[in-house]
Amino acid sequence: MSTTTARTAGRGVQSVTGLPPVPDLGEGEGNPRCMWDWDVCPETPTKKIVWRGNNGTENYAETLCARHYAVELSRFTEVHSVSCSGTVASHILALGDM
Amino acid sequence: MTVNETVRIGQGQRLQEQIRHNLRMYWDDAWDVPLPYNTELTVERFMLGADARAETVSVEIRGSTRGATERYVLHLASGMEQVTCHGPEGPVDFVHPLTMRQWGPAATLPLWFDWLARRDAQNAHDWVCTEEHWESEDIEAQLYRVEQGIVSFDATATHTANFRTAEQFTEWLQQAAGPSTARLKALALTDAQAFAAGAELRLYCTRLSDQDPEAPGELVSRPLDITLGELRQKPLGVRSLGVGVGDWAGFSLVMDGPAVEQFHGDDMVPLSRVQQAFGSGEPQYPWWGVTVAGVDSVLLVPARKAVVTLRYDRDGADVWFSAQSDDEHLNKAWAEEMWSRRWGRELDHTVQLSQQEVQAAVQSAEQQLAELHYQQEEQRNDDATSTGGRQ
Ligand SMILES: [Zn+2]
Ligand SMILES: [Zn+2]
Repeated sequence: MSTTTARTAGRGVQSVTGLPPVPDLGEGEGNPRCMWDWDVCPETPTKKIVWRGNNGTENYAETLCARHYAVELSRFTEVHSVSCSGTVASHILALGDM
Repeated sequence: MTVNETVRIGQGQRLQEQIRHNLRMYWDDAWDVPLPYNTELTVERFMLGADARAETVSVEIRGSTRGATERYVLHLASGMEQVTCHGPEGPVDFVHPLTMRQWGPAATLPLWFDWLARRDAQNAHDWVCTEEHWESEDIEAQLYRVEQGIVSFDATATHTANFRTAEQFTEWLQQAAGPSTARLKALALTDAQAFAAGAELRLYCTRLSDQDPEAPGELVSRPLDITLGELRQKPLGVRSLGVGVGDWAGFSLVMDGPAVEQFHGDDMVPLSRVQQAFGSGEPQYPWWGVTVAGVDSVLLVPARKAVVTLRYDRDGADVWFSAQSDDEHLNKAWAEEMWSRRWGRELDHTVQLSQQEVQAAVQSAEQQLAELHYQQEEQRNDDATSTGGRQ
């Protein structure tokens, strides 16, 4: 039986919103590692994307290294927005340098 | 050189020109279809067969272990639109890479080119993965994974048209669930009347949780929107199930050993009410039912119109099953595929990027997002103007 196996596609396949998972922001000391979770990224985050919470969930900040920040933003623009009726403004509150 | 040989070479050149022309049309810049990330396949790698009149073209791509190659022969005897392919293991059935639908032996030449390019890139990617310590299966690697808290996860998708019998579908579900203890099962809809009567034409949002054994489901119900006639005949999409049902339907499970600890499914029907509607073998109506051992719920899945995905995480403790109408799936899968081709280098963790490359990626991503935002704002202003300027 033919199948495709996406070993690196760790999320998004069934996700209705397609938004990144809610990250656990370590209170106080911040998060020492880039939050990209498709593979282990040891980089220190320098950028952030603040996602607007929906249906009662809180807004949350995703802190990423510059490379994964670019990847995450492009994924939103090129993939998520294709099948979501929401806008950039309805999803993202702030972005850029941490 | 004999006259015959000259003619043969002439035919060969014409064919090669034709192939190149055909591929260039497909990969025309205006289409903006990037090649799969990291493929080394080019049109120039296609070699004409020894006998040009046989109209075969061969190509070698990288194999799944470092240094190995795989040889494929394309047969163009029935023209560019009906090309068949022989690989190292015999004839290859073409499977659409985005809908996962099996097409049979023939596809167009550009589709085979893309298929081979993807395979070349995938094979090269597999070398790296198996060479990476944490993906291997030896004891040392397994211990390393436990220590580091690395778990296995996977997502597998296929088209429901690929299954003839409920047993075939069930076998796929079991394989796709990998190490999970969840026992998913496909059933064939054999009695539409019994289904409609048992379901009382309603769909249910069902939950099961060991935290709350008193609430086994039926939290919300909505009308089943398909008529008995449609249930009997039409291969409809997921959306047609009911009012308010999107193009996506599915359920999720959390396993505790062999037992289902948590279950959540929308738009399903209690299996005990419709058990008589389902059987084994081939469905009499174009619907499958998908259920899980230990859960009294069944999801109707279109038998010829859906892409199903089975995903697990935490070594199989978390499982998600979903069905989506194939046209809707295709739109999303196309966007995803093009994105992964364009951003393949940035996504490839084995590639070290220079500072300048990272900066360029950030700039490009921010600019794209800003453009989309700007377009949406323009649109909003236009809409506001056309509705009299209010809001
Ligand atoms: Zn990173
Ligand atoms: Zn959205």
